[in-house]
Amino acid sequence: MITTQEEYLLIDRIVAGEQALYATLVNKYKSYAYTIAWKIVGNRAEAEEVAQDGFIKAFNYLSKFNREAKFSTWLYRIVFNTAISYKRKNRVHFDSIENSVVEFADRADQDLLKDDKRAFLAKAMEKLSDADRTAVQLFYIKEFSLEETAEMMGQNLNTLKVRVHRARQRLAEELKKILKEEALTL
Amino acid sequence: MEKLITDDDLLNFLDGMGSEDERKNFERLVNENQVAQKRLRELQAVHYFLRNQKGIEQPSKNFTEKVMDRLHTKPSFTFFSPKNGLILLAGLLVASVLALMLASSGAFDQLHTVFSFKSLPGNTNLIKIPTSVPFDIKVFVKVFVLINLVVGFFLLDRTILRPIFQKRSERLSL
Repeated sequence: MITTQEEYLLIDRIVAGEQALYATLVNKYKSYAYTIAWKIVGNRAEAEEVAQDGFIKAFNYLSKFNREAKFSTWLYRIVFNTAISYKRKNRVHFDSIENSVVEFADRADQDLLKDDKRAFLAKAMEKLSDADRTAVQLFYIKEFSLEETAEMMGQNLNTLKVRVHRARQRLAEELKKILKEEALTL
Repeated sequence: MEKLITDDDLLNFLDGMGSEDERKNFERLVNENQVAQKRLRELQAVHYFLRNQKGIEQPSKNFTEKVMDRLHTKPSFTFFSPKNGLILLAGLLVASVLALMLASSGAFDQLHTVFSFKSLPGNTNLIKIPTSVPFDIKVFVKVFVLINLVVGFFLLDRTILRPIFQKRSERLSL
């Protein structure tokens, strides 16, 4: 585990020409970068490509990193923007978690119940706007505070708070509707 | 009289905001209000659903190696997506076919002219310029079709063929 100061020293060395050291930063942040990309593009192969491109862009602009924010936040914002522009260009649709229910159909009742819940949530998620869905998904990635999520998305803290609150209200309404429909079909 | 409890208050409570005293006080208020209790349960369900989503995802094992290998290459995304590339390509082909059909049917046979520069003012002893230039629309159409074909091949390569082969090779290397 490296501290922020050690990370800054590492960045200085990379900028000075020791490019192989960049692998340390990639190793440290790849999981979160990949998760952000995956939440936005909704497809594993494309998320991998987006996350890699994010790291490459970050490397190319590393000398311009002004250290006002944490390196991680700066990097995640690049990955976020890369994913958004990729999605815009390719119009990748939100990969419903519903699909994963099909993948793991032969499982215990408890797991099926969990999958049902996920499927309901995915169905409700589809009703949200892209921006609200992204906001709420990133907010619920463990360890991302509201402030960090706002900085990553390049949005005002209050705007993001409104988005996250609105998304959850909408989800509650949609879940109510869906579950009522499900109850009727029983 | 019951104090009005908004969704924002309930969501802030679920997010763990406020001091311990404030939270205890809020909990007491909710317990006294049946409508707020019901709404809290609804929002709580969403909160737990979201919290139990899949957490951190792991990329492929050779992710770092791939990034390091690609450090000095440009990001792989092209300006045109495959869909936009296909639309543009189709447009170019349609325009070229229409132009060729019109040209072969003789629609442009009568459309030729000669640009004359005789009436231009200036001293023609100093600069030698041709007195006239013939202009044939058929030649223009042929050049147009040729440019379309070159741009079409370029688009086909950049937006369709290259991404397909790139993805295939990446999938094979995974």
